[in-house]
Amino acid sequence: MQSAGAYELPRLSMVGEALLVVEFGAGLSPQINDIVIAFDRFMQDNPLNGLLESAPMSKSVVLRFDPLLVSPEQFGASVKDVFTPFYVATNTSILPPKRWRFPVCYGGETGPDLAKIAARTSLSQEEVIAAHQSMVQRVLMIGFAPGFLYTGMLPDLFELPRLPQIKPMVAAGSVCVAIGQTVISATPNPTGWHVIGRTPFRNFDPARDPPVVIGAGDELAFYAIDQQQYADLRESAKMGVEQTGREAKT
Amino acid sequence: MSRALKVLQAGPYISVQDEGRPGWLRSGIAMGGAMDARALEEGRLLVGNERGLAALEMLGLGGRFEAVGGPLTLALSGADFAAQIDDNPVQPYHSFTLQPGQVLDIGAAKNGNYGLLSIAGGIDVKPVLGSRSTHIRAGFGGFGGRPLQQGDVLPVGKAGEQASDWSLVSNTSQSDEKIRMIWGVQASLFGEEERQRFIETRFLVTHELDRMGARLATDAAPIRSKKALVALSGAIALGDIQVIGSGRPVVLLADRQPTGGYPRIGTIIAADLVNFIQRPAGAGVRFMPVSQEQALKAYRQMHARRAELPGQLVKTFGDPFESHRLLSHNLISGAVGSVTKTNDKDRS
Repeated sequence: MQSAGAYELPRLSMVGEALLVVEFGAGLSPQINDIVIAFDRFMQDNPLNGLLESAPMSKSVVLRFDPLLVSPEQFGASVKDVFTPFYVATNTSILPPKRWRFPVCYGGETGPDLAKIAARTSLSQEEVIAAHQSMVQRVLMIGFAPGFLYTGMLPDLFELPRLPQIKPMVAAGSVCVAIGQTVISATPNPTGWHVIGRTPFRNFDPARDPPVVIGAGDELAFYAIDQQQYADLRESAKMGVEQTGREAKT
Repeated sequence: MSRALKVLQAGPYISVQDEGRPGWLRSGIAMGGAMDARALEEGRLLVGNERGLAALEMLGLGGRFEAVGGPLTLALSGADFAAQIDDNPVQPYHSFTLQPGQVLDIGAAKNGNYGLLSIAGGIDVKPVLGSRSTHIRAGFGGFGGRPLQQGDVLPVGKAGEQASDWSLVSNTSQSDEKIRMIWGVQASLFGEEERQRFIETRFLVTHELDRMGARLATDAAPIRSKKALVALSGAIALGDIQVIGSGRPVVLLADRQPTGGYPRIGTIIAADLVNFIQRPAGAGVRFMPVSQEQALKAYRQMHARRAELPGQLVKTFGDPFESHRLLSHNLISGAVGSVTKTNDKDRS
């Protein structure tokens, strides 16, 4: 299970009185993200005394616990105690990921930074779009806002710095890139990332059950749609996403 | 006819809030809930509600309200807002009855920022993801997922026994510019000199404060981290102190983004959060680092004190001013004595 970039043993650190961060590596890699997602599942299947919730981040799992029930020391010790059984269990039971076809209307008004990325990399916009769709992307985590997806890793041309100026508000469904990752919003948000398109799909809808459909560890295969298709899919309930891997309907 | 609270006029930041929405971190949703958790609990006790019901949270400015369909039992807690029914002043921390036809007029906060208007029976909106709290940024929960507006009619749940004329002694005025914090995992990104400067600096609360966060200002040179941006997003705790490019701290609060990539120097301890969020614009703030053990001790004390609140309720009769004068002079009953005694030490 141990791989390049992973710590020998996960590092534990407290944030405030009630969050314990279990960090599996210094940098981000698919292998570390694999371990993160497996450990999050393990925590849900084998809850520790005092654990209130577990959430996977890119390279760490955040555990919220009740410090009135267990002290941070006790809780940290119980987390360390499960590392061995966790690694043993993980070697035998990694689930294949769910895979989704994921529509994006690239460029134009809804993706104003696509042209700038093309100019910067001396590629055509079509080539940038093709590169963005060229590899299946893994959902690294959900964070920042309800249903907000972080996915990676993209080809090198997307190793872009974040923008110097935050855009105060971009629309729900914005598809944005930077640092080799794509982020996809489900609600209007500020962003410091390059906006290259918009998806009709919303990964958060409080009226839907479950409100968040795509989770950490899932895989996205981006496909391009035009503005008319975007408008049509917004009208329909399905919004263009389609599950094609694990547990998908046949 | 079922009872309701009608909004005749609303300040800009009145929203339905309860104890929050735990368990959704993996979906990118912070817990939210009332900014002043202690005041929510106090208000709940004053109107005799069970746990988990929703109240109205007001930031800086109240509004004008009317009871519809029957009398309502209400109480104000948290920051001290000027309030009256018709022409009669209403005391905070004292439950009272609003009759149909009367108008409750809540003005500006006289101290602090966040006030709560609790109602016997609670605001009966449908829970979303297990909570009635309004998530304003994402537009869901509460009443239509938004702050209240003129003309809104808020359904009120079935109340138990009517519970007016109960009092608690407020300790909101016990505000201190010393705010205890724990150094964060990323504190090392700032270097020792910058950390020292951070705790020696007297910051000022600015007008840029809301449910998401509060921006602080200082005339001193900006606090600089060695790295402007931590490469990867990690979890953000309630009370995290983020120092962004401008070198001015932003404290991240109930409706914060649950993850972020900017360096965070530390976290305000849970026991001092109410004190912090009630510091009004222009007030000073000094951060005082404490150990994890001290934070935990304060956390346990805070919960122990909240557990004692029900025993501190005092039934008052007749003129609430008279009762309040008696309470404030500590002239009646041993229970009140213990309240004021706790009050001297308790900032939590």
